[in-house]
Amino acid sequence: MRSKLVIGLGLAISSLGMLFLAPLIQAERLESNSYVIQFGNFNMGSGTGTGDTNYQMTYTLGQTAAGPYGNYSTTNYFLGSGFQYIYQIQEFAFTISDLDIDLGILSHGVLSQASHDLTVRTRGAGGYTIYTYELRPLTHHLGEITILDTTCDNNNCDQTQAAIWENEEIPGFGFNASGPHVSSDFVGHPNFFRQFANRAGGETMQTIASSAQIATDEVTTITYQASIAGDQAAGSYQTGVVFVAVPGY
Amino acid sequence: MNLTILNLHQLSKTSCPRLAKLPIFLATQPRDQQAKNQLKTFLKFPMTIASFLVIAVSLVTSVTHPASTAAQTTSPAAGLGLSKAPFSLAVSPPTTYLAVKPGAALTHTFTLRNYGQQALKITTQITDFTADGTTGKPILGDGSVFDKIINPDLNFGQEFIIEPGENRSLTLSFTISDQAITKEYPLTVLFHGEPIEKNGSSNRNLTAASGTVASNLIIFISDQSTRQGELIIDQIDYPRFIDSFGKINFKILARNLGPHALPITGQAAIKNLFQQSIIEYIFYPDYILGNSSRRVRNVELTAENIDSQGKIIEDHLDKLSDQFSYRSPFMIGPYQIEVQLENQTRQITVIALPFSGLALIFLGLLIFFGYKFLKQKFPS
Repeated sequence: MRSKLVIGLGLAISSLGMLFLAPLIQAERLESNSYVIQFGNFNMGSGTGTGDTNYQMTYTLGQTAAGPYGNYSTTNYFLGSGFQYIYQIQEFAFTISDLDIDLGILSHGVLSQASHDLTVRTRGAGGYTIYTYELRPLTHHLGEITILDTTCDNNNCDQTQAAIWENEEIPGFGFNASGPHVSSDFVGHPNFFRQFANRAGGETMQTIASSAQIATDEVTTITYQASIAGDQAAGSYQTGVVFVAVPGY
Repeated sequence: MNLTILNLHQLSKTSCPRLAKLPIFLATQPRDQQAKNQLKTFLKFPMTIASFLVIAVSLVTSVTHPASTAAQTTSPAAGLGLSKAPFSLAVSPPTTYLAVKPGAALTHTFTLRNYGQQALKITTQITDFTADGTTGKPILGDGSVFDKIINPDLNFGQEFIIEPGENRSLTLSFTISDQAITKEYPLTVLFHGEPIEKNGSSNRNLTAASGTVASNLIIFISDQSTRQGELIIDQIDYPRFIDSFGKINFKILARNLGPHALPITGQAAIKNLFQQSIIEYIFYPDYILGNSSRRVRNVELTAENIDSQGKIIEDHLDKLSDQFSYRSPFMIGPYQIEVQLENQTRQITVIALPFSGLALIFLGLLIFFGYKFLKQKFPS
């Protein structure tokens, strides 16, 4: 009888000890002094799978949705417990209103203009940047004669910095950008122009507009301007201009 | 359309002996109008650096037609009908972070949508980018990632046509060298579209425009599966003294000491003399690339901005700002700004004094005594 009592008491004490002395197990939270991993499902697996001889797929088990704040649904944004994916599902859209910019008949002493709109749409909070460059200067259709890129009224503009260009006697080819997030050298200056970065001349493309915020159909208007010298050869002049829209990260 | 030459040398700072060329073939298949069509393009290039990021990169494209599965519909997203513009190109996702171990492989799929009125010829290229240190703006490199001088047969990505209203899925496959070092590679994939039909005639002064949309791809190579590094508060720009009728403005620059991107997590608060929080802010989880910095963006921690799960309401993301600001009709004395970034907390003190009030009082006294002086001097 006494032995049964002792056994029973021992069991009771052991049970109480397990309740009060055993550490709490937080199955969904692992942490150290330097990191915290919060996942509901921590069955890890990774490695190289089988597949085509030219490429192989890896796989990850136990990915859970642990997205941050913001415009991500938990099904579309996840931090892989296999340490593979951080994924943002948003669409980044770029529109150009017109692809053929006709400057019309160029005459000495006349600044000819044409314009079109660039529109960016991104719901990501990373914003966007628009770069631009020209393939080459405005070039005669026979291939050799060019209309040089503008250096503006006071010979003080280039592909990185706009300046005033109102003098009809100054020949050249350039552009102005206007919109809510254009580069600072354009802000408030509709008569300031830059030359395009000349890809054929090894120049790198330049930023013309940039924003760190969500863009809902944000429009940047590009106004081209050209004029010719009195001795410019007659004929048609053409070039190609590229606009590159890059989302923020 | 110019194809920018990519130079992998820029991805690694180590130089290693030239290794053997890897056999890669170029294969195309006839387009099948009734089913998914895949175009496989592989690269030929020698591995000149043992810690090369990539052994083989392939770009696989598939055409999506209206007859395909519902998940691959060509219908524009809700609210995004076909544009009237000749060029309207969209890519998703805009930014992706991929982590992979040396010797492993992974794939990533982009989706291109042509919302414009014209069919576009699409060419693809990859360039690297660097962080600007304050915002999430990628500073694109010069595009020299693959060295065509070493590999004159280089032809990354075969051009393809995307019709108006059409979707295209492009899958990028990476196989990582097992000797790759632990490093983060921020890349930008550029999809250039130009119209197939050029309307310009030879007797017009014409500028032909074309567009490129990009998607950022940040790849982190490491043999460790755990988080590495930490975020610290690098700098807080704040005024030591403010006017009692003014406002408290401050900015936080966070730095990532680790090798891979980390999200910003934390919050800030302004407390009065009695240690009561008078305003609280929550940080937006922007990513800071490895060994880089970024300004912290915030919204005010209110029920209006935060949903029941503690997340910033999507419609309120336009309130994001890298400037923390607080204004009160009147402030006096010390105010404590407490910034908590991950495990780090920093407290700074701003003192509000009625400078403008004192200035007005001084001006008033000046006028008063000046008047008295003049009255004494000129009694008449």
